[in-house]
Amino acid sequence: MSLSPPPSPPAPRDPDALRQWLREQCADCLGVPAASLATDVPLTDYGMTSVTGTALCGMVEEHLAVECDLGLLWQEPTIDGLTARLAPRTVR
Amino acid sequence: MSSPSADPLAGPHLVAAISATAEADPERKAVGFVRHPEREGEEALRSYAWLDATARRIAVLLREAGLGTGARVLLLFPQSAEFAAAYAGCLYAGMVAVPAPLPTGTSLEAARVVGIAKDAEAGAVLTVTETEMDVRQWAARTGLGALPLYSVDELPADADPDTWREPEIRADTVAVLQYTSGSTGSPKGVVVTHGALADNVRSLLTGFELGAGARLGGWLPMYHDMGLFGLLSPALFSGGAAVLMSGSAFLRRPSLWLTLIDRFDLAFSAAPDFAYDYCVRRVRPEETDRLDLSRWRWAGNGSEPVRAETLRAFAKEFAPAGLHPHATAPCYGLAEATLLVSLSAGELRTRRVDVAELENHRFVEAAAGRPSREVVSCGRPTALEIRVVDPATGKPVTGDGVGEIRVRGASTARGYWQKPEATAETFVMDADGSGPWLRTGDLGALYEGELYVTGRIKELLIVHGRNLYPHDIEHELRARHPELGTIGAAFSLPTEGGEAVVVTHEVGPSVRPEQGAELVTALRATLAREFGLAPAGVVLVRRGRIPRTSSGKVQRRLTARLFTTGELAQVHADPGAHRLLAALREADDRDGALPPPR
Repeated sequence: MSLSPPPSPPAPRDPDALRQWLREQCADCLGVPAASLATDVPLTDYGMTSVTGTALCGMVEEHLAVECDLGLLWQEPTIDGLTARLAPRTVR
Repeated sequence: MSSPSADPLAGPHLVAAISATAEADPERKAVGFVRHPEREGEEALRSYAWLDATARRIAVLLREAGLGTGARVLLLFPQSAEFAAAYAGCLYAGMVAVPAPLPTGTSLEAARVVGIAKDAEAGAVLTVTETEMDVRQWAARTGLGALPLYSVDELPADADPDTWREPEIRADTVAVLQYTSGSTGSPKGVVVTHGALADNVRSLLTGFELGAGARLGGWLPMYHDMGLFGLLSPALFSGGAAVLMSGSAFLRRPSLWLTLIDRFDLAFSAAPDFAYDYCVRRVRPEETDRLDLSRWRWAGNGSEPVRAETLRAFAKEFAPAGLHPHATAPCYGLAEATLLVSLSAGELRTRRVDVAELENHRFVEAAAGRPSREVVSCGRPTALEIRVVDPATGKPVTGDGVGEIRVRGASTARGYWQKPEATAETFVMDADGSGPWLRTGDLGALYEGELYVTGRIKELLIVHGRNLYPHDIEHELRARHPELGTIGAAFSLPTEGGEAVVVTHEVGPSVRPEQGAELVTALRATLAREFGLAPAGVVLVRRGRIPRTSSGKVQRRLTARLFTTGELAQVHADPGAHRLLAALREADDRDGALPPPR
């Protein structure tokens, strides 16, 4: 049975929802429970690499309809940082 | 559609194979890059007429640029049909193709490609317009700006394909330098001749019963031996088509790979083990519902250790899409053998062996209740001869023995480009005077005529099918983190879940234990960004406590042993290192080999 989340979750409405959504996607890409990820710790501490990072970019692009590449992940290595960068572009 | 020739495998070399197909059936599809596998169809594929004409023009152009027979041409391409034309063009010119990654990624990759260009003494660079500016800037920045550089999708009009004449190509004519070996500072180009290439490609096609006009493809990059010799070359040799997509598209949406296989009728695709695991975890059920994988005959799995549980999970997950239960095909190979050494086509065969016996270099079925490891059969040798020897004496092991896998035959490489010492170390005469045998640096056993790979002697790390050299990792960490000391050791340990990479490094005198966590975080960021590596554990070690030889060489194996026994003098070990140690101790407790930790 696949562990992937259901397709097309609703787009997050506010930064907190976006942060939580990103946390769930990161957890899914890394294969760990979302609760184990602190949002202010670099994702590379949890084992994020270019492979899992590209998967995360794919999820972000598919569901939030914004461009996301590895460069952004290396610049903003935490979930909080990503939220701050992505929120102005996605939250309506 | 008519078959391009009676027996495509009878052709002596790739140039003859491509030009014969282009003449017999010019509109036949040869190669294509597919951006959107869900939307694109046959129109994405270029014909043999295009491939042949473009290769001729490139060959004429390279000659006109003053390059002679045997000149090395650096190929720096994104995944594209144009790569195939450039590759064929070098061979049409009687020159040597040197594929390398685009030097536009990390600074380390850029440095590595400079090393390749210099080692190969490249006489020209080929790319496409999409990446030409980036490649020109890289070349100018690194002192390679004087090399002639052409974009093969915008060739000068005066390169007339009709003036091309087929060069003399013999079995020992060099076709490709394959740079997957050697560290960044000392790259080693495997010398692949036309004879070795043809022999290896034939062994893949016949081993998988892929006849004339076979379709192969996938997302492996063409600078990777499994992409070049496992997908593109066999497709073109057989008069069939290579259908390619980008690795990044696969990582973003793995179902696109399977869609490509379905929509373009690929009989064969191949990838490292991690990719199959990734599909199981990340392809959604409703995506699987839309797939018909019943025509996918072989899912080759190689270039990193093959895990039985991955193969079973993949077969089960995609059985509803029609995947044949025996489609997964474990393979063993390495660049020094061109690519393929052995393959297992058919039912998955594994052997559950005793872990303690394995440590004593014996391949023995585990008794019930004993700690065991399941090892996957990589099948029988294709066209090569395999021998398992005691690495110290070079004598063949007997009975249940585990030893170094050695290989000889027509598709073993001629050696490393202009590296006589490294060549002499790797291609050796055996104790009985036979040879030359390729020392693979891998450990394994032959059981009932089939090859089981159990580990490695060489210190190479393999991550997502890429070869990483411990020296490169340690060196890069020091360069970027001045808090570190002068020596580190990266190594891998076998665990039940596969290989676990551990990175250890001494720290400088100013680093206090309470600063350890922060430093590890910084090291992990560098490892992820520069190497795509997420080690199981990172350990900071007290100065002078990583063992070295009397000549000052780091002893990585000994460091690994000190780590597992808890004797490495740590300043800080991260949570991953603690978890790994706990798991290793638990396995040892079950084994009873070591006393419990104090």
